[in-house]
Amino acid sequence: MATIEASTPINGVQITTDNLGFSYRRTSPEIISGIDYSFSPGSLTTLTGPSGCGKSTLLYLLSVLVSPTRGSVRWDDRDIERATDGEKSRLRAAWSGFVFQDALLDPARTVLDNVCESALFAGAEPQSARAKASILLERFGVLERSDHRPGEISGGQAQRVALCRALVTEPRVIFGDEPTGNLDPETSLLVWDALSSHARRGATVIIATHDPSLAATADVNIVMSAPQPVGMS
Amino acid sequence: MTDHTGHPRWKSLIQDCLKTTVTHRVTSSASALVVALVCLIALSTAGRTAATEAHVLATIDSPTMRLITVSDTTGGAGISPDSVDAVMTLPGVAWAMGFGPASDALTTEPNGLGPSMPAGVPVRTMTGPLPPEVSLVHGRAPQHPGEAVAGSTAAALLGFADGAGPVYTRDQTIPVVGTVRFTGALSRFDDSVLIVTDGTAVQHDESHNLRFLWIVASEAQRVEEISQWASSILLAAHPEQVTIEQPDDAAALRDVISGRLGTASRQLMASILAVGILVIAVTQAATVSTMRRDYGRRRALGASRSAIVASVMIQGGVTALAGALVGTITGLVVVWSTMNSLPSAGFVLSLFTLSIVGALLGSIPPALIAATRDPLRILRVP
Repeated sequence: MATIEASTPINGVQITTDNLGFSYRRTSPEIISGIDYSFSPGSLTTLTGPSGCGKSTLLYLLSVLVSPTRGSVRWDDRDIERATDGEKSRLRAAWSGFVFQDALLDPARTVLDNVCESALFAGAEPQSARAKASILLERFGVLERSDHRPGEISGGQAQRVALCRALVTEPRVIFGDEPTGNLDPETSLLVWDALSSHARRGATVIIATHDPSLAATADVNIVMSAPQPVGMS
Repeated sequence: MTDHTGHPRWKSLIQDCLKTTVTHRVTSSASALVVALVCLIALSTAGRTAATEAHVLATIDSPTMRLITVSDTTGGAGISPDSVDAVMTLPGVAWAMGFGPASDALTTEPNGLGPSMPAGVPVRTMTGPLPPEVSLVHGRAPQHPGEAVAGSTAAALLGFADGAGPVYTRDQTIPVVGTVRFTGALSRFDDSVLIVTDGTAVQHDESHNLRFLWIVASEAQRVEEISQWASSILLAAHPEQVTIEQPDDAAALRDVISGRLGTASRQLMASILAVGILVIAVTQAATVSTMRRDYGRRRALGASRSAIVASVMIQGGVTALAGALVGTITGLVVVWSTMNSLPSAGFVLSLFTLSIVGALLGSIPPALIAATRDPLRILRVP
C-alpha cells in the first residue's frame, strides 16, 4: 500500500551557487549576474522581485534545466556542470520536483497520467506511483478530475496537478515558479502548507512568488532586482 | 520514504511510449497515414511494374517456352525409347517424355458383336514418368507397363463415367486406369489415351520406337544447349530424319525482360521508393518537431537523452509499422484486383522495411535536437 508519510524525514540538498551568471543570448546582458548563495536543506526560500528580474531563470539554473553561462551550481558537493547528462537527468527525475508557472501538463493525457509522469523517469514502480498520485490528488482536491484531460480542468486545478506531479516522487528539492499564481486564497494556503511541510521534513524548497504575504511566511526571502540580488530578509 | 530507483524502468518507458502514440492521435495518425499512402502509391505504381515483370518472366519460364520437341518426321527415324532415359541424364532437363505412333481407339472390341468404328481418340505409347504439370482427375496413375491413362477430353469421348475402363485398338485391349488433365504444352494430348511402356523391355521392338520426344528444360536459358546435347546423345537409327524444334528466342526475350527492361523498371521502382522514403522521413521529422515541447517537458521532468531518443524512435516505429501494414495490404489488394498478379515477396518486404526505416531515420534529427538541448531552451521556444 503506497503512503506519503508527512512525518518521514527527507534528506534535503545544500544548493550552492558560485559567481553564477546567465544570459539567454551571447550578445545580450546577463539576466543573472555573479550570484553567490547557499540554499539550505530544511528551509523554504522564496525569490521575490519585479517581473523580468530573473527569478524564474535562477530557478531554472538551480534545477539543472539550463546551464549557466558562467559560474557554477553545486548540489551538496557535486558540481552540476561536471555531471553527465544521465546524472543531471537523474537529479531532475529522482531528486527534484518542479512546479512550472504554466503547469506544463501533457494535454493528451489524463490528470492521473500527468502526475505519474515524473515518477516514470524516477524509476518508480508504476502501481505504487499511481497510488501515491491518487493520494496527492485527493489531498489537493482534484481526485475527481483524475481521468480528465488538462483542457477539461481550470487553471487553478492544473496548477494543483502540477504540484502533485512535483511531490509524487517525494523529492529532496522542490522548485516552484509561481505555484500559487492561479489559485484562490484558500487553495493557495493549502499548497503553501504542503510546500512548507515538505521543507519541515528536511527538503530544500525554493519558490519564486509575487505574493508578499506568502513570502513573509518563508524561512528566507530573497528580494531580486535585475541583474542581481539586492537584499535578503 | 521514496521507493524509486532513480533509473527509469525500460518496460514502463516502452509502455509509456505506446500510450503516448495512442493519446497523441492526430500526430500519430498523420504519420501513419503518410507511410500508408507512400506504400499504397509505391505498390500501385512500382509494385504494378514489378508484378508485370514477374508475370512476363513467369510466362517465359512456363514449360511451353522451355519445350524442346524431337520429331520423327518420316516415321522411319527409329528413335529408341531409351532416348528418354539418356536425355534425362543431361543437366538442366526438368523432365522428358517419349510418345509412340498413334493408332485409333475403337468404339467396341474388334471381334465382338456389332461394327467396330474409330472412336476419334488416338492411342499412343508413352515412355517416361508423367510430368508434374499433369493432374489426376479420376482413378489412379498407371503403375505397370501396359496400363494407360486417358486425357479428360478422351475420357469424355470414350464415355468413361468414373474415368477408367477398357480401350480397344485393332490388336489389343488396353486397361485405362485413370483420367488426367493435360495443361499447357501437354494440352494437345488431352484427347489421347497414353499407354505406359517400359523402355528397357522393348528396346529392340521397332513398333515401340518414338515418334516424338519432348524435353522440358529447367530454365529458358538452357534450351539452346540442351537442344544441342540432345541431338548428340539421341539414340536413333536414322538421325538425319529427326528434327529438333525449340521455342524461338525465349532465352533472348527473357534476357531483354530481366535485363534492359528489368533495369529500367527497377530504376523506376528505386526512384519511386526513394521519393516515398524521403516524403516519409520529412513528414516524420515535421511530426516530431511539433512534439518538441512535449519532449522538452519530459526532459524537464528527468528524461535522459537516451530515453527521449528511444521514445521518439518507438513512437515513430509504431506509427510507421501501422501505416506500412495498412498501406501494403491495401496496395496489394489494389494490384491484385487490377492485374491479377502480385509483385515479388522481396519487393513487398523491401518496401515495407524501407518505409519503416525511412520513418525512423526522419525521426532522428529532431529527436537528437530535443535530446541534446537544455530543456528550458526547448520549452521557451513558442
